[in-house]
Amino acid sequence: MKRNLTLLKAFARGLWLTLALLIVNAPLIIVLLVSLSSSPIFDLPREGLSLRWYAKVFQLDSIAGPLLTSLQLALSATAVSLVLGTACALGLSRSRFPGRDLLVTGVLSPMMLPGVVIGIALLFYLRALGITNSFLSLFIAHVVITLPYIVRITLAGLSLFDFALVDAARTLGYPPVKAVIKVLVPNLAPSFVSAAVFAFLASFDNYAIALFVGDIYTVTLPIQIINYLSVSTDPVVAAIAVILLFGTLVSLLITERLVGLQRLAGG
Amino acid sequence: MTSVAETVPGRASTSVHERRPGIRHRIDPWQLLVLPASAYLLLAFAAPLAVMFAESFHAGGGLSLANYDRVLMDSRGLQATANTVRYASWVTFGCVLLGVPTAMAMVRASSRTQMIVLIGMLLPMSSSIVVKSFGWMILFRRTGLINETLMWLGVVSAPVALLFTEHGLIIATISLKLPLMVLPVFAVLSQIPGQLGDAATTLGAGPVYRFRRVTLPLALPGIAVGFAIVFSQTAASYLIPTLLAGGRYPTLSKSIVESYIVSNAALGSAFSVVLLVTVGVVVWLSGRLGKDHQSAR
Repeated sequence: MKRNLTLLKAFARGLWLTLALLIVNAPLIIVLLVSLSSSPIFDLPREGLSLRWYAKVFQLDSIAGPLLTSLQLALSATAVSLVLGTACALGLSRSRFPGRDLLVTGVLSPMMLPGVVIGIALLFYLRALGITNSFLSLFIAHVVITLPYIVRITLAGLSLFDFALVDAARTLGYPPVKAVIKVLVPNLAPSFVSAAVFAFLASFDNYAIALFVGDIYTVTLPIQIINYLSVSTDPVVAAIAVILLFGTLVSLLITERLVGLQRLAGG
Repeated sequence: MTSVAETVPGRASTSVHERRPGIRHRIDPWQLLVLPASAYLLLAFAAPLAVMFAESFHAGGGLSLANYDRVLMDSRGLQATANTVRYASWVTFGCVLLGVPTAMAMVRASSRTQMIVLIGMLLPMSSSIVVKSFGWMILFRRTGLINETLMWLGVVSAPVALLFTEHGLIIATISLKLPLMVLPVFAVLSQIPGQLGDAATTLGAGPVYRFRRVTLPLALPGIAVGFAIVFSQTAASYLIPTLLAGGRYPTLSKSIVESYIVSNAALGSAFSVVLLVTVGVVVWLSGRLGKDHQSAR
């Protein structure tokens, strides 16, 4: 009797989790189906399946440029954020000065603020300062939005790290810099990886800022997808989305192998 | 906001660098490391917002509250504010209702299942919001999958309007934001030893009592984080209501963009400030919820 109850509970749990996954992934499943449609209309495949839209992705000239722009932007913003953010998290975790909590809230606040507001505020500000280079403007904005992810995840990782270990290494004769590299860096490596993945994705998928700060010569991929969907209704966009999805899946699986996904959920 | 880092008091402070009585104002060199990032955010984030705030009081060549009058007294402005608060509240409510049981089920599942569900939650989170919104547009069509299924099941006799309606928008947004609630709650719950619940059961607690007195209080900091993120992201979303609700459903973020398109920067700034205050109040309240609970424990 008791065993039956346990089994029933496990079954109910499994059913609930399946349902939750289905709800969350419903739009992705639809997009996958659309991408396989043989008809030239953005809809579920009703006449038959084909891979023609995947073939068409590679003939499109309008995708490679924005993809490259988005990759450059996400990589450079993540790199700069990693340096600034890690330093900031280290400083925050070592200090107990008055107003520290306020500073933490301030540093993390770009994550909470509407991207549209950040985008518009920066657009006018940078224009007033005379910065008209579109890529530079986007880069400045993307560092602002990726920085909180790095600080938050690294800070969480540091809260589990005992700084006495660094002091111990120095007592044992390591010079300060070497003590940090030998003790702190290996301990924080998983946090670095998950922070970088999150920051990269936050930048790569951002449309709200590029909507205002970009210009016709500097188009990011999300903006190009919006543009494409407004002039054409064929399922090429769905095929692009599925290809990107596959890339994300691979990077998530690699992260899982390297550091475990629980860290991504935490932070 | 309350991050895990704040809920887990840093052990770091107990090291030898702790300020000793008698030695005053000795600056720990580690503290200086916060300066570059703080300076960057001051220049590239706080300053633009301050300029925008000042701009919102600009009207007719002088200082006035005229823009706020248009945002909070004008019927369309008022409607945009009301819609945003109602929309974000329903979505947050739905995410708590679905997300907390999901996180609880995840914690009790095997580690293999946990990994699959985690990937299943992270994958949609990290894919383009544009594409996901289009997925929902297809699902919501009169001849879409949802309507066809409902009619096949005999639940409805005619197609239900889902696209360009508020309830459709809320349903789709719950699906899009659910991982943001599930992940922080799961992160908090998975740090709790599993025996705690079993101990409660051994001591005679029923499932309801156990949920109310053991699981829920422990999950509260995670729920507070999820609450803040889901509410702020929903209130701020521009693309989702634009694509799924259309032009007849004004929201604050849509009003911001519209004001700037007609180059009324001052009005757009006032809309932005109202949105920031709305989001700020909710984030602050949910932070208090998580913190109060911490100190009460």
